[in-house]
Amino acid sequence: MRQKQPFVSLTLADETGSASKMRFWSKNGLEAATVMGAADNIRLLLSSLSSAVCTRQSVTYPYFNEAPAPAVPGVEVEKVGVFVFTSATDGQYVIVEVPGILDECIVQDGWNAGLQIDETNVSVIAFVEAITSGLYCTPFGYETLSLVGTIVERRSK
Amino acid sequence: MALINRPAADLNFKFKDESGDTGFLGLSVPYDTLASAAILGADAMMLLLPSLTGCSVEGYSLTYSKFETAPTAPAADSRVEHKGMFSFMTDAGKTVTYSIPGILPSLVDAAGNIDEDQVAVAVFVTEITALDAVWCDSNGVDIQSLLASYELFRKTSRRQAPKKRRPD
Repeated sequence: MRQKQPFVSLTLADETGSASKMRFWSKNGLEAATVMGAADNIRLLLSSLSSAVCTRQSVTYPYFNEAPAPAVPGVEVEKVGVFVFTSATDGQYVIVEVPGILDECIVQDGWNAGLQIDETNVSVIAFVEAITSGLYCTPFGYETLSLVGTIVERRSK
Repeated sequence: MALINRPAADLNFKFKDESGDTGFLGLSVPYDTLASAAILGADAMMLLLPSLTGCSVEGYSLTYSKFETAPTAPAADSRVEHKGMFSFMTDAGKTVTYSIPGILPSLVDAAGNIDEDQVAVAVFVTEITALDAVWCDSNGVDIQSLLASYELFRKTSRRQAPKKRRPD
């Protein structure tokens, strides 16, 4: 993997509601708290330079695959493997969708053939373990706990 | 006025199939997760994904966001199309330009140049060019000095134009 330059994006809005973004690139190897702190300084300075107001601030770390494996012929992003996990908060679930799910990861026999993901597949097991390792959470910050269901969906183009 | 961080940072993986169509896998990590730790996890995920998907996994991005929950009202007559352009020289001899939307008219002289003697302008320039600054150009090269600053008017995009374009 190769890192592109991290960047801060500031969104400013004017009286009419129109918005415009500014982008500042930051140096590599800096944690988000450091970059956001510097961005806070920029945002404060902008209040003396601009009549628009800042409504959003973000820092993005982009990485690209220098040598991605080519796509398998016939596989489509619209065929999605959906994994449903419980979270640390009752009633909140984490939905994880893998585009272009491989046929070998899908149940081949039985009533749920073609409909569900094969949870005994080694690659699926490794993926589920990674998702429930404690690193990932719901969009509201609650830890992802365990897999409760899977389904294969076909999305429209 | 205060920016409030989202509860989680977004980790987005990009996929592409043979036809060129793109798809995404979106995950969240708690906002206080160190970027270095999240990136380690993402790198590990990149190794797992090729055995699950037939798409080419092109890369990922990690984004931490904050939002203004109670923005102050923008100044009357503020327009994001009115830009203050600041062009800087980098250590590599190239330029990087920042475009400030809604530049204050009081900072612009009659000829359309930005008054670099104004305190607010000078402080901004110092923030960008300081030796220990966090900022750099898109290639990671340090920013050295201000080359030029001026106003510019950009076209209002269709999306920015008011919905009711005819006067009453």
